[in-house]
Amino acid sequence: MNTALIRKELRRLSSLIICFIVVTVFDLVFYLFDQVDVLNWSEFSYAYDTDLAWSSAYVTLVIGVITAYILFPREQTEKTLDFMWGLPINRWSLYIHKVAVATSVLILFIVLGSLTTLLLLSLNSNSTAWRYFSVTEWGFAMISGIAIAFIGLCFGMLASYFKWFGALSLVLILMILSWVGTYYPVYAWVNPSELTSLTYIGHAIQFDTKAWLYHGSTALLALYIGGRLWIRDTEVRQYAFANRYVNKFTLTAFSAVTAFALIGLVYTLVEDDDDDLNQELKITSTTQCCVFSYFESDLGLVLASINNADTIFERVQKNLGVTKSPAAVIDLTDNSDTHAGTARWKKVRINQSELRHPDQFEMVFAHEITHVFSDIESNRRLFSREDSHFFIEGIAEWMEYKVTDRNPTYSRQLAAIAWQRFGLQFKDLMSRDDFGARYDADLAYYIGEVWVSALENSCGSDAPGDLLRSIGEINSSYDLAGVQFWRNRLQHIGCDLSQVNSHFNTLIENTGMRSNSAPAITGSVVSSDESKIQLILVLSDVETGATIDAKRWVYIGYRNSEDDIKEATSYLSAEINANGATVSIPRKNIRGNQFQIQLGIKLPSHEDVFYERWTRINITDE
Amino acid sequence: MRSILALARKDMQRVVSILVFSIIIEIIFFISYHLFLGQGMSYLISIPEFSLTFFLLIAYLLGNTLASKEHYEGTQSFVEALPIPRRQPVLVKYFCGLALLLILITAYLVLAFYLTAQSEPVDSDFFILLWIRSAVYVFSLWGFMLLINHLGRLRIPLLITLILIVITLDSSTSFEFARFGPAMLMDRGTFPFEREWPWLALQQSALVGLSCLLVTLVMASRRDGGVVELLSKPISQAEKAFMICLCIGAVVAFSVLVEDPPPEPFEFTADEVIRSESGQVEIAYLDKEYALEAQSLSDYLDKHLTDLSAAMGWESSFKLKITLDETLLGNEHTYYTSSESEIVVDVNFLSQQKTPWDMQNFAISMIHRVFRSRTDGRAMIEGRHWFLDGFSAWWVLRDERHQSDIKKTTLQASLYLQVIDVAKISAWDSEEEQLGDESFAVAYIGVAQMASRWGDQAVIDLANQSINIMAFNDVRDWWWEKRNPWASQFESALSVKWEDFVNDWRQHVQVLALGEYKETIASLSQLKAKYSIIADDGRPLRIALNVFSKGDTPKNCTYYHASLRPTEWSLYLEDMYSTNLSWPKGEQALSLNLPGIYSSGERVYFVTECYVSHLKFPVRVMAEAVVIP
Repeated sequence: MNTALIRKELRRLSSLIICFIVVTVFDLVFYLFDQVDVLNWSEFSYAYDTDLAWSSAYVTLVIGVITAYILFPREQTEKTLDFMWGLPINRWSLYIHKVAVATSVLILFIVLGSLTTLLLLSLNSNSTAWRYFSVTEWGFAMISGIAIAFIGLCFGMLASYFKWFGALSLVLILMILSWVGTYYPVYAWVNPSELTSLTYIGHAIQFDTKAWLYHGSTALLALYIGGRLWIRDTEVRQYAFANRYVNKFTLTAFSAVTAFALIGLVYTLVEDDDDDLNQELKITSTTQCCVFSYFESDLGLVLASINNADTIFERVQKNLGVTKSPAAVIDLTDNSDTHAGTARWKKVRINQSELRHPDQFEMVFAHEITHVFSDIESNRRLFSREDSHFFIEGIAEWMEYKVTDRNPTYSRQLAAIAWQRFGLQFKDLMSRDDFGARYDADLAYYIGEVWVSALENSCGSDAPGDLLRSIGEINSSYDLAGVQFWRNRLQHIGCDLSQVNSHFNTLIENTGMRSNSAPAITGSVVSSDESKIQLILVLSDVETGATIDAKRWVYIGYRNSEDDIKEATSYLSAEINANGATVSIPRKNIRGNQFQIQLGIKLPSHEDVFYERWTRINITDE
Repeated sequence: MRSILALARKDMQRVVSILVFSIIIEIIFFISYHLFLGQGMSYLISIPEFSLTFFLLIAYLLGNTLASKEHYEGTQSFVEALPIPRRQPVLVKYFCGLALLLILITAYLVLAFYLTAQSEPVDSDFFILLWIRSAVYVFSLWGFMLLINHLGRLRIPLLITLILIVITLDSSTSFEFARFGPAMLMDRGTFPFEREWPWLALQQSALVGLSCLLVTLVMASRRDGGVVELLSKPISQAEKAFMICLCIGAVVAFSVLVEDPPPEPFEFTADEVIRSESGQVEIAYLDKEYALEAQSLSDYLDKHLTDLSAAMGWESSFKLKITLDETLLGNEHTYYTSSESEIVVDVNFLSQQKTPWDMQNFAISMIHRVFRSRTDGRAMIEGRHWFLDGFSAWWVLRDERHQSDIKKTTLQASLYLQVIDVAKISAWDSEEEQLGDESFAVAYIGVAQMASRWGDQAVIDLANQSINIMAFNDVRDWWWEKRNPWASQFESALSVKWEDFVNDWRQHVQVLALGEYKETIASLSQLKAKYSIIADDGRPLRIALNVFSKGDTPKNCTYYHASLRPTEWSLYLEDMYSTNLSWPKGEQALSLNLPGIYSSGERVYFVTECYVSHLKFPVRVMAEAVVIP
């Protein structure tokens, strides 16, 4: 290594080095403005805090990219690049020097950060503190940080050749990879945030080797291509001319690619039989409350279904104490597999299939219109809250039954079993994500309905609407959350949370259901190979654990992890008897050696399924 | 006019590649977004997504190319040498950039609107509304970006400062950035659906855009452009280093200094509420038939809290707000602390069959909680945590009415003789995981010993020094702990070596354990718990939690279980699943089968506590973190 070159590169990176040192020092200072001797490993653990893992991956990647942008583009602008290429040193050697020095600086920064973490933890002399600490995880965090920064550096070396276009393209590619990973969890390894994803099997740590192989190899390829581009840049006499040439070439290539892609998209959208763009003409009908949009072929069904729409709309309005009518657009052309309807600000989409069942349509319409009113009455503050999901769906469910005069018996029975079986409390409803991680997400609907009924019983029929408006009055500076938030808001409308919860418990007891009103269903892996995973399912008594001899249908939901979106959950069903039931899950749907299942059963006369908690399953490949 | 066209041509030549590539990015973004997210509620949803991400970057790049780079490359000097008004080049840049951005946003809007029109009832009025919203957003954004890029080397620090100011205002005042001007125009929730004109947001955005443009023009013409030229000079390494330190320091200072406003105090709104004489205790009892129990509890707690406040010299009053929750077991409390001067807690203070309500234990927990809240948790630092537990119990039990409870507590303590050891007391948090609530009993004996030896006032004085402490909430807390370790505080207050006292304490309990309570302890030592994994061939694992008793059988046992997250080794009981089972008559064992809810490789925490009738307290028979094989 040429020490003069190293010194030169260090000088060039001096502002970055200063930045890293200052960040590390201030990071330390930041912690010193808190009770530093109670910090423990959970504050830094990627396995414990997946948000921290995700953000660390992206931030470290960006740091690597920024470092790359300091190396070459600035030299090119300052015209010192020509001088450097003119030296009697092999150009690849010059390139490698730059990369090596930058990598060393990044290593220094990350090691410094990791050591700072150790220093801060060492200030905690609690006997339990070091029991929580994992040397393996700490080492993984440090090494993965270095590797991710290097990966960012490699991508940056390629992107920096294309200056700002390269930066924008990199951002776009990262966004697309993030979407792929989110909507197709089996391909989550393309998402850079998977690089910091950790799973514990017992005390052992597992990480996503596929993600590392993929990103590592593409990074090395990017580093090589970047090197080729930068080095050959000077093979042309006028680099400005090279830039123009490259720009034209790139411009032409990308224009052609995107033009084809755009044509392809429009063609696909138009020709796809399942997509509503391909359907026949859509027409609209306007009633007093709403503008309905539907397919012409559904005209007869729609006219029958929307007959009562205005009445239902008025009833919802009256029950919520709303004086002003919003102009709502109701789109009756949805074809979702997972939702009967969805609602956003002043717009509702209802599944086309609901038109064939007018009774069902009325309930869905009432449910979704309630969401629209809730959003308006709460001044758009309700739906952005993590602790409001049970109330959002609960008030909509409650309204369904109220305006259509139907009985919520069955849903309340499911709510009652779950409430008692799982030992739920009001505080368990405060996090939509945590609740969905452990229980069937639909339970929030059933439990929410009971809670809103309890609210009505204890605080009067105006209470649900008043509560919405009360939520709309606060602003972000209050920062209350969870149970405190609900106590506070109920207090504002002259209501008491404890009273509401007391009425809630009464309603739950009145269903007559107990925790053992549905049998327990359990499952475990019997065998697994490259193509499938076989599970054995068993029905048993909740309290004694004895096997139940009964012939029933059971339902199996499975997903990779609680971070998967709802649409990524798959479902199967099987008939079970005294010997249990065996089901097969396609291996290709499962990423890694761990996944989750949720087992359910229908109660007699019920249409909805009662699901157990989500259970984690570890696979040991044979 | 010719000069304007020439300047425009020059500027457009500089940015045409940005326009072309931006359109490409726009198309790819649109395709990718709807490929993965589908139509969703509307094709128009991706417009705010694009406008608040890539569009910002593109606008910044445009400003950078048109303004900053011209100064940096020195070509601006050439332009300024031309016989044209000073503002003219700036206005040309402004309108060129504005035109480009409007082309971009309009192209995106047209594409999205075309697809939307195929599936939604939209009309030209709606398109005009959306276009106006987008155009005014562009107007404000471009004005801002051009201004920022005229600030040369100060642009990054000023941008960061501005972001910090906005965050501060947003979090500490009633100002909401998401509902202001440009952000409101591109609000993801309303942009695709709202058909009413957002007049306020339009006015605010127009004002922002216009103000930024005016400031830019003033700056550009001030001293014949000298201000902008001065700012455009390349930043030296020293200046860069200074700016970095300043920016990062500002970020840290902001994070540390800006505090959320305190929450409103919680107030009961129901009619069925009892308030104590001193006002320190309020109890919501929900139903008139529970009024007597509530009054009794209120009087009991108020006495202890009032005396404690006087002894600790607390000038500001502390409020305890209790709500009856009949679904809780007798030994369960759910805390919702509102602030340093208020605790809100749910409890079941009615008499019950399974786990009886113990008012004294509840009072001990409340006193413990009061110290914890008032000292922001500092009273629970491990070195002195045992004393907090012991003092809380002693404060309640020193009342002469509690002689029988003292006896019960002493018995509890004698079960755990091995814990009375200097090393184990220093590792109190680890020991507490095994002991559960029995830790209070063990600690109580120690404090009672102190009181019997040196008097109540000595104990109160020690409490004032060691657990009635002010929290600094910064590194000074750590430094204070280092300078005032428990042992030296004890020794300076009571003039006895800490190790000597612990030995005396242990001997006192040993006498009881080997004497008065020998049989009871022997009987309880026959109470054993263990878990076993039952793996039938080809069936899900079952976990059996068993309690065996050769001596006195308990009345019932509560099994607690929950899976442990990474970095966890124990859990609070209220965060675990629990099942309470009555002990079957005549049997020597009690089992709970957990039908396969935990899988191989999962870490699980098991706790079992059994209630023995004549003891009147639950005994913890197992507390273990295991990995399911």
